[in-house]
Amino acid sequence: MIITIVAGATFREAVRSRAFIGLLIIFAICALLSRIVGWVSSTDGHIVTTDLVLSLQSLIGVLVAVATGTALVQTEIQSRTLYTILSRPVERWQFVVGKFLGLAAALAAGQAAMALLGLAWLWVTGAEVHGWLLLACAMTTLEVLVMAAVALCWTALSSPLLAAVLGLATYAAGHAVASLPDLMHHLKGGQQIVAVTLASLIPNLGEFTYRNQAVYRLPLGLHDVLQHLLYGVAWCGLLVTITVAVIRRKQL
Amino acid sequence: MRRFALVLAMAVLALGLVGWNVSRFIGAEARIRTKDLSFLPSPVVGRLLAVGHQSTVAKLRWIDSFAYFQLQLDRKDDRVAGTGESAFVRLYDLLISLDGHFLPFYEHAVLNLGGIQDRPGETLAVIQRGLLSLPHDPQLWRLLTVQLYHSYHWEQKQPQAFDAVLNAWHEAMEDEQQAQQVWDWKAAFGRRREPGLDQVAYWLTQLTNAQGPTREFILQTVREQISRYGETRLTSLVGRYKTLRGHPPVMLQDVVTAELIRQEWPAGVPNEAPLRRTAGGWTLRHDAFGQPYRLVDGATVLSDGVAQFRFRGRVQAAITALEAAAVKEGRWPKDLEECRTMGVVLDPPPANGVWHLEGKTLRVDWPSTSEGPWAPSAP
Repeated sequence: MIITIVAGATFREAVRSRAFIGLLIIFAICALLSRIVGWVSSTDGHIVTTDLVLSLQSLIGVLVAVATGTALVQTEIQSRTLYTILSRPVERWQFVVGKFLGLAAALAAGQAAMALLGLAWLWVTGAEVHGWLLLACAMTTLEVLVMAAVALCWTALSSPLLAAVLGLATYAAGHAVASLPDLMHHLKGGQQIVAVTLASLIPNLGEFTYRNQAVYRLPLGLHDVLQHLLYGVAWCGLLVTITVAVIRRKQL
Repeated sequence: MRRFALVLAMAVLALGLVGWNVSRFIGAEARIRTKDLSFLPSPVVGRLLAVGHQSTVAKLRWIDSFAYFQLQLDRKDDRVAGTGESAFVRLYDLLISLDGHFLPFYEHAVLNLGGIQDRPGETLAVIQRGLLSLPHDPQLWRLLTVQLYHSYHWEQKQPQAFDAVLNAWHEAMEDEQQAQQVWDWKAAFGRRREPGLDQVAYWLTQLTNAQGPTREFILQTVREQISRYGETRLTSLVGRYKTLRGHPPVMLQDVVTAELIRQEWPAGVPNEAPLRRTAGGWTLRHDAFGQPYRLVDGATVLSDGVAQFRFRGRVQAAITALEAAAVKEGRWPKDLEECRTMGVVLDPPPANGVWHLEGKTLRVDWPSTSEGPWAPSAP
């Protein structure tokens, strides 16, 4: 019950934030302008536009997640509302979980809005809009939720500005580890062990990049979808748990 | 007052800056953009740098490289400074690794590597990579076939292997219409071996979607080409007959013997040949206009259909001359004789044609024959 209340308040706060609304507007403008790139490409411009719109949804979604995720707890501390909340019968873990769930709901709503807007624009321009694109949007939403958990975790461990930088670095590293198996033959013995160990500590965001295949209607089986879903939920669970552990020990 | 000054300053600055930006486009002329490919990472590094947006990055890199294509049209040398590697090979290696399902990458690779640089080996390698990603794409199979035909002359040098490629293409197609394309190609290659029938395949393809007068024009063109082919091959048969027997044939049917046909068409008689196989053996058939072939002076074979087809221009000229004469004289002629006296030239029609004056126009009637016009079925 308490988690729901915190989540509801966080959701309202997040969707009203300037960063959230501003980035949604930027997505809308960029999605509209993406058609120009389609025209420039001269052949198969619709595929190019579709690719761009799906990429924008991910990039701007991650920016929203990092910007909102890193600001959430810090704003509560700075405005001292956190003390009011924690002085009531609210456990710290309930506060963190509620915050994450509220943020996740807001980001999911934002992703739904972007998907709706993006796909509608693609349909208006004459591009093919099919179910696989919707699945790609859902996968991107999962990627954004993992990034929100990453941002929340970094906020607990560092300052908001540093957390934002580390969050974006994690995004780049999370996609880089997806390509790491192709580079392993360049490494030897101990180097391979170090690389594999470090890569295993980072969420492999390559699990959620179905957008690269969806545009060509390449199917994704239910088993794969469930596997990606489980992977995303597991990472969110781990990162939120770490955040709870850190916040519980933190001197506020 | 201060507020007004602020708003005014903002408006002036904003308008000035917008105008500055717009001025770059006023009077700007389109010019060809060229550039070198300065940044071409390896495929693995490219995937690493794409940060999960391989498909988008590949297309943006491709669009950016258009200016390099223009440079290649002028320079025709894509070696990279230092290593001397081919920039196109590196570019397509990167693009295909990032997004192997985008067909234009392969089409551009074939154009640039094969068409401009004339490097068939590398072109073939790109197409084969494409077939790994898009095994059912008819366009890629078509490019492969063209490459093997044009650069490696497989039709002559490796006919069995070439046929195997065509069969593999047929098996890879997912629907009937796509599979039909392969048979069209086979038919087209078959016709290409017959001088005089080279264009028939093209016209038959055009016939598929043609309507009304265009369809009629294409049909007549195909019939003319097939009939002229018949004239040439029958004249050749007459020559073979004279060499063999020492005298010209009495009738055209005399040249239709199994021995002469084997000599004339060692690889088999094509469907468009002026012969028809019956239970009793080979017989002559009429030309594609449905008119009989004629033996002239025991040496040359002519198609009445072609002669009639070509005479259409004379008929039209006579009709125009008739209208001009009627205007000049102020009356229409009553019969053909009066037509001639009014100055209208009526050349004798070939193939026993007969002029007729029908009211205010002229026409030529031809003797009816037992066979109607024909043309090979459209693909």
